[in-house]
Amino acid sequence: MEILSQLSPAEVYLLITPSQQIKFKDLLKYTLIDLLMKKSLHIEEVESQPHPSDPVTTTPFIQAGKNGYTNKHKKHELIFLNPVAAEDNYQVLFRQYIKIVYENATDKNQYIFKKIFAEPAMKACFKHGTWSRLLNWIRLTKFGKVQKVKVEDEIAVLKDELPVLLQQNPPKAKDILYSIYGNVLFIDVLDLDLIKEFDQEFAQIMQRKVASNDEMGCGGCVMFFEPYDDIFDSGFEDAGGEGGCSGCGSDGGCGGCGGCGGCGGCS
Amino acid sequence: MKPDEMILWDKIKAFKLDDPSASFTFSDRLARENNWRLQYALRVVQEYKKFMFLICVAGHPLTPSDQVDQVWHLHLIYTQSYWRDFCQNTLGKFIQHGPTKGGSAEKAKYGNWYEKTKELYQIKFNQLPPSDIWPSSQIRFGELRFARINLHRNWVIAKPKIFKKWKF
Repeated sequence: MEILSQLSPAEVYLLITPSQQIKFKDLLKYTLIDLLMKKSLHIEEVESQPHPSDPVTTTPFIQAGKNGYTNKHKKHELIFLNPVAAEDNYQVLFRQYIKIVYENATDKNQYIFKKIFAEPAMKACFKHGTWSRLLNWIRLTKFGKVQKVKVEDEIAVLKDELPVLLQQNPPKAKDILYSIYGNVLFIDVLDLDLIKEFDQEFAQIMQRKVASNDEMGCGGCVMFFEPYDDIFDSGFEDAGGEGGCSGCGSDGGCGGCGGCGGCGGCS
Repeated sequence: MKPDEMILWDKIKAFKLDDPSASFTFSDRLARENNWRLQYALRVVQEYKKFMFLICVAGHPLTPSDQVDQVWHLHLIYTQSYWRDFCQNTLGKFIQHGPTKGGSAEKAKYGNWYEKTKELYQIKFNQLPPSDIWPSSQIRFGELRFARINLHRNWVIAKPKIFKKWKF
């Protein structure tokens, strides 16, 4: 798997998808899943009970994975890693994490042109003329067209061979999966139950992708790839008329603390 | 850090200001009210936790940066979280917030405390406080003209660089 093991899923997606069908959400989704599979990121389900009268709920948090942050990561992956790289075991609520990723990626064209095309291998595959940049045209070069065919061939071979290998030679199938990581998502004929047998976590991550495509639930974790603005727009509305002091049982007016030159805390 | 300080710091680190069940969390509100990006807001929350740790171990008053102070202000209006969950159950002591009384003596006092805070930060965390959250005293006490603005009715436009020192 000469090319698939070198390219990230976002890069593969960009190569094989017609430009008008490329979705920003998918680019981010593929990158995130790849980093989870590589254990650069990790999802931790955390139980919490904000108040004794509240039910215990489980919420997904994201944190750096055991393989963490290395200098091998590509520029379009860094926006996923930076938010959790600050400190050891630093966890961010998954919903907030998605918002941060969207904020850092800016928009589809910025993400493609400034982050993904920063990689020399990708730069050679796409045109960079003034018109392409001004009009955000994503057009393959001659070299890019050759690479596209090679990638499609490799995917086709894996679609034929990998399901058989999973049954007949699991160690070899495992080696292949661990060389292509997130690109396994383009091999849409795999039996998740077979993958589960040798890597439960890997299969779970794949399942999340499948579930998110089918708009199914997965214990609440597949809010994953919903556009974050929906989540946050409703959040603003729910917050008591945009920023009120809602829900204070005994809040008889705030005294305010205007114009502090500096506030000292006394222990 | 001493062993008992490590235990305290681990407890403070584990404390979550954001209620996971809330659709509009503490950090969301902090980011929106200060016009910060969410990632920056979360970083400032981490610095607030460090500051509160420093207050617990310092034995003398400290002064936060303005950014950290904004977290503190907001946390104080989440009264249950601040007083019961954080001060009582996490820190084991009640940390009072004292605004300045104004005047040059107060300004000098807080300036001095701010420097002491940054020194203690370096000693306890073995790193420099990040300058985008802990600016110099000159900026900390020189740029205090904040106002609450109705963005539905007003535009906010940045001053050109050459006018930034002027107080109008």
